[in-house]
Amino acid sequence: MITTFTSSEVTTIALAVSFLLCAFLGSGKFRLGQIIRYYALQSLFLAGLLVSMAAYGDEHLYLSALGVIIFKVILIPAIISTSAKRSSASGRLTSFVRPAPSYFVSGITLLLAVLAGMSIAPALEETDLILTVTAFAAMFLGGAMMAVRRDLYSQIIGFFTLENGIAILAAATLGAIPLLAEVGIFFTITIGALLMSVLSRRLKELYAVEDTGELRELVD
Amino acid sequence: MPLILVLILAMGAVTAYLPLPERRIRDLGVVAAAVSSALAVYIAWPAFEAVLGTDSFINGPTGIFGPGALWYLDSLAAMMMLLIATISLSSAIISHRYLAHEFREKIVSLTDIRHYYSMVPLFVASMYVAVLSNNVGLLWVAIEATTLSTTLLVAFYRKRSAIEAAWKYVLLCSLGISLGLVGVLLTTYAAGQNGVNSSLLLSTFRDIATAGGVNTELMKWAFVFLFIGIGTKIGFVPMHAWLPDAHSKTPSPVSALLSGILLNVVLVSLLRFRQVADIALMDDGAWTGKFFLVFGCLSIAIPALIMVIQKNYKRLLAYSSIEHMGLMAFAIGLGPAGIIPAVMHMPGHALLKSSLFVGAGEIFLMYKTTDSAPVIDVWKRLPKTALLFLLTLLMLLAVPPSAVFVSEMIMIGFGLRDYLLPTLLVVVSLTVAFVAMTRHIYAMFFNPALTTASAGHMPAEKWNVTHVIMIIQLIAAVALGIFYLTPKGLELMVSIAQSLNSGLL
Repeated sequence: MITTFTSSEVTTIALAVSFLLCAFLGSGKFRLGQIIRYYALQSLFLAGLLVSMAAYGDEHLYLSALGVIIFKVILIPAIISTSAKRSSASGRLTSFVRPAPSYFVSGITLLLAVLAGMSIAPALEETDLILTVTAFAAMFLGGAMMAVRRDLYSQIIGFFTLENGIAILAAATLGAIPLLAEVGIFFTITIGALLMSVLSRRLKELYAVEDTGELRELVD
Repeated sequence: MPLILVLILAMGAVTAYLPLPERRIRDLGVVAAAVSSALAVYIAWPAFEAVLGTDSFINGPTGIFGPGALWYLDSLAAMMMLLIATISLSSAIISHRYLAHEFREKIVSLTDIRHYYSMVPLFVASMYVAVLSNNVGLLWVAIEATTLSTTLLVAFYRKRSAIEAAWKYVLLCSLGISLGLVGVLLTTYAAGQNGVNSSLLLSTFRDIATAGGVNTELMKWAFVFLFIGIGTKIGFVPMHAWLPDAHSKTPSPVSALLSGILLNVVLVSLLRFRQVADIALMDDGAWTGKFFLVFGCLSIAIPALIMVIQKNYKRLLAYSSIEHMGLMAFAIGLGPAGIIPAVMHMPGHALLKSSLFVGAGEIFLMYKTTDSAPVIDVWKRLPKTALLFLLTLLMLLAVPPSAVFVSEMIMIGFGLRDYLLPTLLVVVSLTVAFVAMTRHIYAMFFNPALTTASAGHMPAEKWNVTHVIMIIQLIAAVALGIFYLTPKGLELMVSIAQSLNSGLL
C-alpha cells in the first residue's frame, strides 16, 4: 500500500527533519559559535513548524512563531554570544567524549527518543506522530548534551534545545496556549538565559575555565 | 486583589533602586513585607471563616477566587498564604538587622543590598501567585519565577562556592520545571481529549476528571513528568543535588524562606495536579501514592545518613528540610487519610525550620563561617541564640508538644497500620537524624575548647529582633501542636486536607 502525503504534511515533515538535524549536528560540534548558530537555526525551523501548523487554522500560532523568532532566534543566541565574548570564553568547548563518540551518543539518544515518542504517541490520539517523536527527540538530545558536555555554554544550549522540544510538544498537543501564559513562558526562558549567562561569566572569572567538572567545592 | 498584592511587592522591588540611603532601603523592605503580609491575611481569611461556618465561602470559593476564575482560594491556599505572610514578614524584619550588620562589616555593598531588596519581594510575589493560581500556565511561570528570582540570592556572596551553588540551582531546577511543563501540557491535553473544551484551569481539569473525561493512560504519563519535574524543585532524593548547596549559600533570612516555605509551596502545586490524576484514575490515589511512598522513604533515609557525616551546620539544616519533605511525601503515600498529617506538618516545619535558619544566621554573623568545626562554645558566646536554637531544634525533632510531634505521630500511626516495613525504615531514619543533629549541635554549642577565662572577656550577647522572632515562632509551633489536639484544630486541618481530596476524605 502506498501512503500519500499532502503538501502541508510534506512541509511539516521537512521542517521537523531539518529541526532535528540542526539539534543533532549541534550536539556534536565543539566550537561555541557553531553550537549557538545551530541553536538559532533549529529555533528558526521551530518557528517554521509553528507557521505550518498555523496553516491548519490555529492562527494564534503565527504569534507564537513570531515570539520564537524574536526570543529564540535572535535574543537568546545574542545574550549567550555577548556573555561569552565579555568573559573571553574559549571557542573550543570541553566534553567527556570526543566528536565522533558524541554523535554516537546523540544517535543512541535519538533512537531512545523515537521509542519513547512512539510509546506515548498512542495516548496522544489526535497528535501528529512525527511532531511527537520530534519533540521527544529534541528533549532527549538536549538532555544528553547537558549530561555529556562539561562546558557551561554547551549545557545552556542543551537546556534550550530541550526547551525547544517542549515547545513543539506544546504546539502539537494543545495548538496555541493563551497569550498571557505564552508571553510568560518566553520571558521566563529569556530571563533564564540572562541568568545563566551572568553566572557562566562569573564562573569563568572565578575558575578561569568553562569546565563544569571543576565545580567541586560543594561536596559532603 | 491578588494583583494588588503582586503590585505592592513589585513596588517594593522597584523602591530598592531609588536613590535612598542604605538604611531607608532596608526600612522600605520591611514596610513592603508588612503591607503585603497584611493584605495576604485579609485575602486568605474568608477561607478560614468558611471552616468555622460563618462566611459565604462555606459552599466553596466563589467570584474572583472561584472555579472558572484565574485565581482559586480554598482553605489550603489560605493556609499557604498565611504561612508565606508570616515567614516573609519574619524574614524581612530579620533581614533588616542581618544586612545592616553585613553592610557595617563591609561584607556587602549598597548595590548588593539593592539587589537583595529587589529580588526578595519578587520571590515572595511568585510564591503568592503559585498558591493562588488556578491557571496551570501561570502556575508554571510562578514556580519558575521562584527559581529565577532567587538565583542571584544564592550567588549573593560571589564566592566560588556560591556561584557554583547558583549554577547548579538554576540549571537543575529549570530542567526540573521544564519536565514539569511537559507534565502540565500532557495533563491539559488529557483533560481536553474527549471533546471537552479544556481551558488551562485546574478547577476545570478536576471537573472533567470527575465526569470521567480524562484520558487515564495519558494522565499517568503526565503525572510521571510532573512528579520528576516538580519533585526536583521540592528536593526529593535522588533529584536533590542542588538543594543543600543552594539553601546553605543564601543569606540566612532567604534560606529561611527557601527551606521554610518555598518547598511547601511547590509541594502543594504538585498535589494540585496529583488530585486531578487521582480523580481521573479513580483509585483513591493508590497509583500516584506509590511515587510519594517510595520517594518519601528515600528522601528520609538518605539525608539522615548524610547528616551523620555533615560538617556544615547550614547544610545540615538543608538536609533536614529534604528529610521533612520526605516525611510529608511518605504521609501522602499512605493513602487519602495521610494527607491530613502531611498538611499538619507544613506549618510546624515552616515555622521551626525558618527559625533555625535565622538562628544559624546569628551564629554565622558571630563566627563568619558555616563550617561546624571552627564554631565552638556557642552556648557561652551566644547564650540567647543557643538556647532558642536548641529549643527550636528539639521541637523540630518532634519533641512534644511541638506541632511536628503531633503530625509525625499521626503519620507513623497510619504507617504502622498500613505499611509496616517502610514505616519502620522511617522510624529508624528519624532516629538516626535525631542523633546526628543533636550530636552535631552539641559539639558546636558545648565544645569546651574555649576556656572560661577567655569567655569572660567576651561581650554579653544582647537580646535582638532575631531572638524575638524565634521566640514568637517557637511559641506558635507549640501552640499549633496543642491546637491540633483540640476538636476544632483537628476539624480545621481535616477541612484543609479535604481541599486535596479525590473523593474519599
